[in-house]
Amino acid sequence: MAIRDLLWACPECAAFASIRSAERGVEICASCGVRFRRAHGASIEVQWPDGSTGIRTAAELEDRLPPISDMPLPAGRLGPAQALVRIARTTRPVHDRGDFLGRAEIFGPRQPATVTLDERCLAAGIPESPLVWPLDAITAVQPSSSTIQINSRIHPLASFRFVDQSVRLWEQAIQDRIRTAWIEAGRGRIVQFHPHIRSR
Amino acid sequence: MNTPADTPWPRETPPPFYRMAQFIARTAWSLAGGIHVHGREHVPETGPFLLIANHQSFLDPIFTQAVIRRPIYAMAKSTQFTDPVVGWMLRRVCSFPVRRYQVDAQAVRIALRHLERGRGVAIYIEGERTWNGRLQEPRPGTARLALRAGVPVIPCAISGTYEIWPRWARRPVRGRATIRFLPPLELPHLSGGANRAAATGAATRLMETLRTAPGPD
Repeated sequence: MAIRDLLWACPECAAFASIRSAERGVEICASCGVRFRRAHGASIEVQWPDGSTGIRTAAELEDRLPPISDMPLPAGRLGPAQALVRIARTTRPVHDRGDFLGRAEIFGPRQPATVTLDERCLAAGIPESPLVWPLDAITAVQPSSSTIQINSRIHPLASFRFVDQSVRLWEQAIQDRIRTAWIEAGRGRIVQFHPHIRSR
Repeated sequence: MNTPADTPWPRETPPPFYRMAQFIARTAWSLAGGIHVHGREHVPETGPFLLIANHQSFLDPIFTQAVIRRPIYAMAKSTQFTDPVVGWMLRRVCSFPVRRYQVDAQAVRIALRHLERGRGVAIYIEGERTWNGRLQEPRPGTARLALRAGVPVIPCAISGTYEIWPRWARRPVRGRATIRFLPPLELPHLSGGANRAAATGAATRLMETLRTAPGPD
């Protein structure tokens, strides 16, 4: 995980997906040059290009982020972003001393993919077998540690780990697109994305 | 469901691996900042109860289980159980899988079964760790389970663990965690299942209790 996973845009210049890893423990906004690193506890040290510094809480920085819906999307599309995608192959029962506890997913190997999101679908350009998730077929968007899990009616559970972009940017962007698609389709305002998408 | 008032529940001792994990967690963190516990008297010594906590950090379930003498059964994401070592350890520390991208009826059944056997079950009402340290929206399913189970509900306010290991950080740092067990909440017992309004009302009460709890020491 990284500070860019918390900050999907730069809190100083509002550029989206601009925060990148610099040297160890330091991340930098490619747009304005502001640097971020973890200070004491859960606070973040911000260093501006003129050399001045300040300590901010994660909540203070997050409050300054622009809404995802304001994100400028070239050609109406987010990405392509490099990601490692795993598709659940099957599930396995979990037992403890003879008691059936539930089932757990067995994922296939991590496959490098280029992921894109547009108004109608989420797509993973996996070399061997590209996959497309129409937004209206997605049934859950679930963040899990540093990955996003997408469940749908047409594909098994898929897990996305983004190589150099904010997992939260993608989570929020996918949710925002699905929210808009549901409203346009007259399916109501979404009130939850997990454990399954539900509208009011 | 039977309650402690009408059934003498046996005292449950944690299994050996669980006790060892408790010891390691308490010892390690006493050197790295300490875990301060308040209101331990609100946790029943025997009988079923539902512990409903906020979720700040990866460390929350470890610290919560470390400071309660009796074993606490907790949901853990199902994907963790596929790793043979992690899965074995999770089962030894009384965890059971929940598939979080769908309504997992089996996880609810297991939680209810533990409660029927007089055990304590812990659930993180927000469903996932906070990104920014603030309380998130509650998962209505947790409140529904609390209403359906009809057992004492102990709110548990965890603070300090976000400063130790926030979700966006790679590793933990030293710091003091505070775990505050609050007096049991009186929620109605709706054995036939709770409607949306009742679940929303219970979730609101739980979140308000957690929100107004004192912060870290």
